[in-house]
Amino acid sequence: MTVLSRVFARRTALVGAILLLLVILFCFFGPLLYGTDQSHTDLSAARLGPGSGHPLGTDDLGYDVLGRLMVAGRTSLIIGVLAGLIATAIGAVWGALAGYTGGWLDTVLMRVVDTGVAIPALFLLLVAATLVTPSVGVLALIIGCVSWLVPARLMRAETVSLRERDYIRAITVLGASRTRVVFRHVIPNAIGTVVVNATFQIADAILLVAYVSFLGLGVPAPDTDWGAMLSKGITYTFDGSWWLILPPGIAIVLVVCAINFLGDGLRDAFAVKGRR
Amino acid sequence: MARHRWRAALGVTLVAALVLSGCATSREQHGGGAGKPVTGGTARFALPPSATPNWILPISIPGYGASYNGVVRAELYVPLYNYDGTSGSVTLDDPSSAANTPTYSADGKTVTITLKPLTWSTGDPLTSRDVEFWLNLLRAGKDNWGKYSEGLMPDNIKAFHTIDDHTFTLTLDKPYNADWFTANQLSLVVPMPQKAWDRTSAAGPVGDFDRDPAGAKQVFDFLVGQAKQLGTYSTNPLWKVVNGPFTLAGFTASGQVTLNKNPKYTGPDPAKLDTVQFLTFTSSSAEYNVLRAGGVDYGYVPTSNLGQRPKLEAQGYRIEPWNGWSITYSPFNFANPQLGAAFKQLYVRQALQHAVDQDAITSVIWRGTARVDYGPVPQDNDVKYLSARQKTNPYPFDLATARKLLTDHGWKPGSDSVLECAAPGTGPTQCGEGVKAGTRLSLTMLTESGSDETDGTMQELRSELSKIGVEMKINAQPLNTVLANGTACKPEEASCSWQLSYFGTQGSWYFPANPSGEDLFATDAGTNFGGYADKHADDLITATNLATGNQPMLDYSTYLTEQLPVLWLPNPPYQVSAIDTALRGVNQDPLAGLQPQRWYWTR
Repeated sequence: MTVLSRVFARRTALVGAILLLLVILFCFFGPLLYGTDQSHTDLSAARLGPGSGHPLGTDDLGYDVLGRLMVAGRTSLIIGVLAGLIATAIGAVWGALAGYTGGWLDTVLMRVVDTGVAIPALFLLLVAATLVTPSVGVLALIIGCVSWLVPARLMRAETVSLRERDYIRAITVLGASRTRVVFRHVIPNAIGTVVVNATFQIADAILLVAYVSFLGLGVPAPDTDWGAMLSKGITYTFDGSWWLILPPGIAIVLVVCAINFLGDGLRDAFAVKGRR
Repeated sequence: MARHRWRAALGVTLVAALVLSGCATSREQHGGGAGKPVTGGTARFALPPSATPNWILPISIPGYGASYNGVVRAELYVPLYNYDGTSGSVTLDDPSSAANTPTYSADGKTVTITLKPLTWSTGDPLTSRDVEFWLNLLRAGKDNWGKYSEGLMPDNIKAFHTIDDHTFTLTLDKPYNADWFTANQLSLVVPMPQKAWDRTSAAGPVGDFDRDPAGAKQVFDFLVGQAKQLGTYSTNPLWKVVNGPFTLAGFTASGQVTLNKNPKYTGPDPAKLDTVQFLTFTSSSAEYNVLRAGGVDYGYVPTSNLGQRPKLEAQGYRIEPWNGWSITYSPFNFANPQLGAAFKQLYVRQALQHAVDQDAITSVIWRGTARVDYGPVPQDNDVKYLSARQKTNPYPFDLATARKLLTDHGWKPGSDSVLECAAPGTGPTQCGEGVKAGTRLSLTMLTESGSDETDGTMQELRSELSKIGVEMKINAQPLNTVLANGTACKPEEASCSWQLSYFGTQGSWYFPANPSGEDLFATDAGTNFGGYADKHADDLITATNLATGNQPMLDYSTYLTEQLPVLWLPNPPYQVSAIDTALRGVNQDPLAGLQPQRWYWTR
């Protein structure tokens, strides 16, 4: 059985993958089928309920909510994926270096991680978002840079286990450099841990983007993401404008669930491979 | 890994909680009772979103002149003259003033003033010396006074003469319109406790330092330095010496203020409540949530939630719009190195003004609670000061005209559609004096954060401007940051990077009784943030200060409406208030005064 077939043997993983694919199609190809102006306000069409012309209604500035959901989803997904990859890459290298090297360097590197874990990521995000003007790239970088701590811990544990394997010892005896061992042998052999963790990092990053935007520190208008849409919709909670709250809220839940389902499937698939 | 399974559940719970929060009912009962006045008690007042009091000294330096600072300060230090507009017209509020009505000599150059028998909390009486102290310090520090305009207070006071402890005269440099002088000049005077504050250091002795210009400057700098230390307000002995109806009981670094009734107050306007708390909020939504939970006695309703009026009324609040004697605008920074020269071109300002859809902003974003604003005097039904030109709006929303104004003057779209100056020079079809080739009409709006209506207004403005080829970036910051950073500057200064600013969520400027513009639009005026300078405007402003009758004000209204010293924007109400029905004595003063000493509970 291939890894892919083992992943999809788990039904929730299959559902997650399909959901994720649908969301990606919705966000990236949806605007081609359902074009809306998401750059200019239209106050004459503000806060219309779902109906003809606007399947999910309009917001307080006249933006079509369905179209906005696509644009916002694109932002959330791009930031989430980029941030998840950044966090995983930093964490993998950091953890592998610490785990393979051991000694004082391991101690120093992991104390840095322990210190970082003690500081709430949201706090760091809010501080960073007030110091720089948020944009897609900046937010991805910031979130990635505050999210690598858990992958680093996981990678270190995996590396400590790997470094005792015979083939690692053999290439070390043959004179391979530390860098070569880490990048050519340790990290590739821990790919299961890395990939599984990356999915969870992406899901976490999407939630973090939503938190930051909900607090008003997301991408500047007219760009938006699901967290910003939700934040704005909450303003109209008491006025019964449910169509401003439920779509982005449901989208966040769906995507995070889908990625987690997929991650669980990947984890199980790699676990089976490991047992064999 | 088990925790990952919980993420989805947590996400669902979060959304459910957010949705259900809309169904939450009040936790604290408001209103009710027989309406019989009771003594004492505490009232909690909600400050504007992201507004935090940050100044206490009765002489405010630039950037610290927000109205809520004045509201708190007026409860501690009684101004010489206080005006009030709750009756429908702006009149002198005698009980909250420290002096009796002034008398002017026949030649109009001498004003005689008698103080009321007020007492400082040290037991010392309020005397003429306290007024002289304020005046001496102002003379020494006038360049660092937020309300300074050359030629006006304190320059127009040629001599201060003490007749006795409670009576003094001011000799003026020339005869003024007496009504204007009392309303707009003498109302700036706030007697300060000379016997407690006339010192150059915290540990130094009290003396008559203010009577020497150098000494006065030292005292001024010392007091300003003390006033910048927000964290010490509630403990600093200086600020314990007050003569108002309240004393300062608490002042947190985040701006939350607690006032207690001043037991030593001897004036005619004592506090009825024991305590008034000023609560701070980062956003109008945050305030509304606390209001709904019953945590505020006198708060406000974001316009996005006006549909909730019946529920709030059932909860025990009465809803009353609080309109201001105010105007709202966005100053152009005429000294900005990149765009200052472009802003100096009237056609550029006209184009930008044509792109403001005031009707749509007032009706949709402000849900009808704001009023259009086309010029420098309050766009009110009161036509006493409102010119026909301002009333009818010379620059209606018209994107085609706006774009034509720019393209007719040598601006052409760049690769990203943003207009660039392609024809530098001073000819009629060229960009204008000082505008360099390639200058892009890409500007950044420094705007206050925390208000959905302001966010919406800025997005609408950005959207319309983009249609005429002007790029507008939005930089939202807390109000105090906007006020501190968007001040007058010189092009070479780093602080001159701001281009347009907005601080008008509750109106940009609240006038004293007379809505003349000496503080706003006169050359080098203290609140002329953008550095607007126009000789004819200065002359018109001077005429409003000196001549009697309404014609000078009408001329001023006409000229400034046409000249656009700032971008005129819809004028919001001060707020749509939600007041506990049991809290009485509340007057929503259009001048943004508060007078919490007159509030009382009924049960």
